[in-house]
Amino acid sequence: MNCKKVILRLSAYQDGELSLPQSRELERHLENCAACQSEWEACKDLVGNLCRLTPLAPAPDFSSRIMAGLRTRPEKKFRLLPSLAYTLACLMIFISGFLLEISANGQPATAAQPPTTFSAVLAESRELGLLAVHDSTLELFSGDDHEK
Amino acid sequence: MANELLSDDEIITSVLEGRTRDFEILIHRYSGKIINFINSMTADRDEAQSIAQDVFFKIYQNLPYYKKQNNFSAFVFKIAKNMTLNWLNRQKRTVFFSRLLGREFNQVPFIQAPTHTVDQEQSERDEKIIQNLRYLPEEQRIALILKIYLEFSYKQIREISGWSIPKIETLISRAKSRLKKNINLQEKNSGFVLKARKK
Repeated sequence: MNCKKVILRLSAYQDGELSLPQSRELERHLENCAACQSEWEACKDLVGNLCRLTPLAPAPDFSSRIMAGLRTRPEKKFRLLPSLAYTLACLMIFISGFLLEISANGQPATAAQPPTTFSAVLAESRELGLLAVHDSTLELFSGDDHEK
Repeated sequence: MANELLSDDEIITSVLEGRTRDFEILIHRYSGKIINFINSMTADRDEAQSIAQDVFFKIYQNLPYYKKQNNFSAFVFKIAKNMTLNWLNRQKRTVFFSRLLGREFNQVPFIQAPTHTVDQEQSERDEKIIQNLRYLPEEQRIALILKIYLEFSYKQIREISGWSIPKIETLISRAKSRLKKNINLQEKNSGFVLKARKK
């Protein structure tokens, strides 16, 4: 383990999160490296300092205030209500939009019917410029017996 | 007294069966840790008590959704962490909009109210620690506080935060080296000030 790796893992070592072989390896390095040893001392000092923070105690009436609050606080029985309200609002907007569309055009917009015969498919493809189909080819397939 | 020996899961079962009073045992068990966690994050003693109170209301409301796997501690601190972050975000927004409107924010954030129970020297030292913690990025601060003050293992921190263990290791390591740098810098600066005063 080189110095760079040791410095990176010092914190985990301090937190007791390294495996036993990893800890042993790191300790061997620390015994022989003055720079890493001083870094380790600095780490210990820092955590020692942080741990000197005076713990804050709960207020004397902390738990009694919560217990009183639990008795007076209404329970949330209808957790689904807000989401249900949102869903209904969205549905209303959608329906009103649909009704407006009908009133503006006289009838609802319907999707174009897909072609039902092979010749119709060819003709549509030619119109869209997807296929180069000769008239004679279209005539060849333009019979009721050439259904898709 | 026998109630104090019950496990968290047993107490929760009892509360869910209708014995609401047993919830008080959980409050006694966790209130200190939660208040100190929030205080380290917000650096505001009064708000820490107030947020902690809301955390317990939230825990109570969410008890039916707790899956009993002996990890109630993670469940509690996940709620505490989220509510604290929400509060911090609200504070940031309030400060931002106050400045935008050209108004002075009447409550200076992150300043500890003077304490009446501890001596002056200890109070100054606490304030210095809290001030140093507040200079850390939020994620580093959370990871460090959960490790140093609440003594959670990296695995428990993963359960609370949802971060991977390598990320937690990096966050804590970076937090420590940043704190070391800041403290060294402050010591140097105070040294300069003392020298300048002597001159």
